[in-house]
Amino acid sequence: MNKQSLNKVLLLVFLFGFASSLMADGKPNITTEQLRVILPPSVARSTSAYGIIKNTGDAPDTLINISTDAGMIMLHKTDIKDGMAEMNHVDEFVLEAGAELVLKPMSYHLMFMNINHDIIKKEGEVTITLEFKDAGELTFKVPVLEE
Amino acid sequence: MLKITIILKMLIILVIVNSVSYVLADNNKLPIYSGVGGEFTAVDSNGKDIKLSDYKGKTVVLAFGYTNCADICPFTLGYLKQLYKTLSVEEQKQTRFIFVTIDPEYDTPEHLKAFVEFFNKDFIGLSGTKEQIEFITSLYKAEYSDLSEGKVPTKDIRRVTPQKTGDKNEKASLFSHTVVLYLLDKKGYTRSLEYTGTPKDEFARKIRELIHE
Repeated sequence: MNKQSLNKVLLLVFLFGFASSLMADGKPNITTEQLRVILPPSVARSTSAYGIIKNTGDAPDTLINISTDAGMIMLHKTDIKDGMAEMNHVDEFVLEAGAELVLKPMSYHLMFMNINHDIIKKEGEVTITLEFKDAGELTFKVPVLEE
Repeated sequence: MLKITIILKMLIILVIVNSVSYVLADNNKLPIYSGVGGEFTAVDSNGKDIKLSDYKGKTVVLAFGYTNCADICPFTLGYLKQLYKTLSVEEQKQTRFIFVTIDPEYDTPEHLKAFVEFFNKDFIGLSGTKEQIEFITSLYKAEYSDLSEGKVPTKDIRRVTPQKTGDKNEKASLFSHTVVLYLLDKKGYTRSLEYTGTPKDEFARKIRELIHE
């Protein structure tokens, strides 16, 4: 590589770094993927929501509250110990920059209680608001699916 | 004379080989979990008093849970629904999938019927008195605890939500309970302990093995 080419490469590296620094705003950015509420039997008072909550930003953030129009809701984690399932609530969850919270059966999940069957129904849509310390309240429209 | 001796020796070897293979085949059978399970009474999802022995001649898959369980119970019944589908119609006829509630106070037979039939119309829900349920769970070492009335008040569990209600009596049915799926043979003996992580083909193979015993 001659000196001219080397200079070009260094310039590109510098520009890329500069652009990256402009894009990195030091803030969290919360997104969700495949978030869904599981369709419960008509007699059930509870159900769960699964999916992924991501922080694609470059600063950590903390999930401090959840609310919904379809009942009571909380972040739970199922722990299996000696063949026993224990349901433990999670007070708050820190999402580091670039990290994700995977909600899935027998693990973390959003637990609905005293559900409103007029909203959590086949082909229904549920409003879920996630409140983060820095990102504030973020509202998502979440479909009701069979699994 | 030599020929007779050879024939006799061959017969003896044949008998020994046969005996060994019988023992090996016997050893490959699913073991009986002595001390796990036994005869019990309950009320089925049609409100009928039943005994476990009423299912004699059928292979039984027994699960414990409750209808207000939001995560593991629906997931388990979803798993059992898929498992049931892997069986042939004839195998399904020879099998009973039973869900025993650990919350008989809320889970009446009618309630359980609607719940289990949401997953499969052939599934059976069992409820009963609190004493009956406690007896069944003690038989299967399927101990459970009520979190909402016991060590964890519901109002404290709800700290993560900003929603408040003025209802002091508000409580949720929250139990910790066993995740074991019990596979019972046609005589009611517990022959295998499974869970939702068991590959369905492997579980189905064990069910078939017990059907054909």
